[in-house]
Amino acid sequence: MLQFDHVQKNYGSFLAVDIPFLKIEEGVWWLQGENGSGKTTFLKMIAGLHPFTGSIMLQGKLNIKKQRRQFVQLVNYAEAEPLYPSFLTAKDLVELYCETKGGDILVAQQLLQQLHVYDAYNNPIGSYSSGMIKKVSLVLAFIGHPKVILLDEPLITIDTAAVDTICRIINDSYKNGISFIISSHQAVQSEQLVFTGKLRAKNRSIYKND
Amino acid sequence: MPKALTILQKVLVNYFYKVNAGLFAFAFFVLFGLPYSPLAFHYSLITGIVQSPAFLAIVMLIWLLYNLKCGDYIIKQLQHPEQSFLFCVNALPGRKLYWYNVYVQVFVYLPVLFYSVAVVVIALKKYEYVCAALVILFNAIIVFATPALYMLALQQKKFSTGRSVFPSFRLAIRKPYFLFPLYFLLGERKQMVLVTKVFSLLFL
Repeated sequence: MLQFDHVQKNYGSFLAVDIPFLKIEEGVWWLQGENGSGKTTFLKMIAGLHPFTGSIMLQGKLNIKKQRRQFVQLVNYAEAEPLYPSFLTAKDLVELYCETKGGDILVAQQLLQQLHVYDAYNNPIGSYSSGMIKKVSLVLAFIGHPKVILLDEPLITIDTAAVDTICRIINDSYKNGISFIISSHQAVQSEQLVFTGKLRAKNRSIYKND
Repeated sequence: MPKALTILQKVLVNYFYKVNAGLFAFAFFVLFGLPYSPLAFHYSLITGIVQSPAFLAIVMLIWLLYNLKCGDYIIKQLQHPEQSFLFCVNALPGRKLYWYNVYVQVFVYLPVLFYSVAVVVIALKKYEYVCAALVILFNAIIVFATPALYMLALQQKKFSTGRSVFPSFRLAIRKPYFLFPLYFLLGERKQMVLVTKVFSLLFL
């Protein structure tokens, strides 16, 4: 699914992430690691949000640097602490993502209903609680036809009912061929999510922890 | 209107005018709040621009500085964490995205474009074809080249690549508290300081 070749990310002269080689197969992967170990940087590099040296390939044919548009269409990302301009509404964001990622507005609205945030669909984000913003960002990550969804701490901030709903949506999406890399400090119960394997962020690199 | 364009308009253009409302109010007061007829003043000003290459060069420098301010603002906004959701527009075809950025550029650069139209019309009336062509060419370059930088910012690409080969010369001196605002201006608002100082110099 994803292949990393000599991937390095520097912040100034500080080498934050160094992945000589890594291959991640399809599945639901749990990304673990201490604070500051490079989990978010790793996810943002895959999402295209962080420049880096080396190459990241999707499905063996799409290079994030050369086929950027196709890559971005197939990889969705939800931030750990999402931020949006306060004057935009969830409707604005859903319509934007559906237009750019080629998604179905009705499907997104159904997801918002399942997470109990649809009532505020037309309200400005500034009037949302942090949990509601998090739920909207998670719904946005499912819009379109992604092959990989990257979720950075998806289970923080939201209520327990929403955790169950998100886990169910992830399981359903995986059955439909979507892979996930999920970073989480929280222990996830095996009946909620079944992980294909674990990825560990350690010593400035990412390792498979089978 | 496509949703992506509406959002870019709301997030970048509308907010730009909101944030810079004070500057525009000041510029409007200086240019149009004169005790004598603004029309006669601007006609004589534009006649001077059209007939003097040196004056035209100074005006173009002011337009360039204004564009630097616009570009700096847009790029900073696109790199701000609050606007990182705009990264999704990279899933649009490149050509479409480029024209969306041209739209943004045209709207933030609109005050200069309005004035440029007046300069071109008067230049043509006075048979100063070279001046008219220069003004059109200058603005065309700005309108069509600056969006390429916005594209880079949208793609979250570095503007300068590679690791610095120069060692850091940061001295470990204790910064006095009263100099914090100065450090902030010189560190975080370099371009604003430069543009403000050059504008002040030109006004003087």
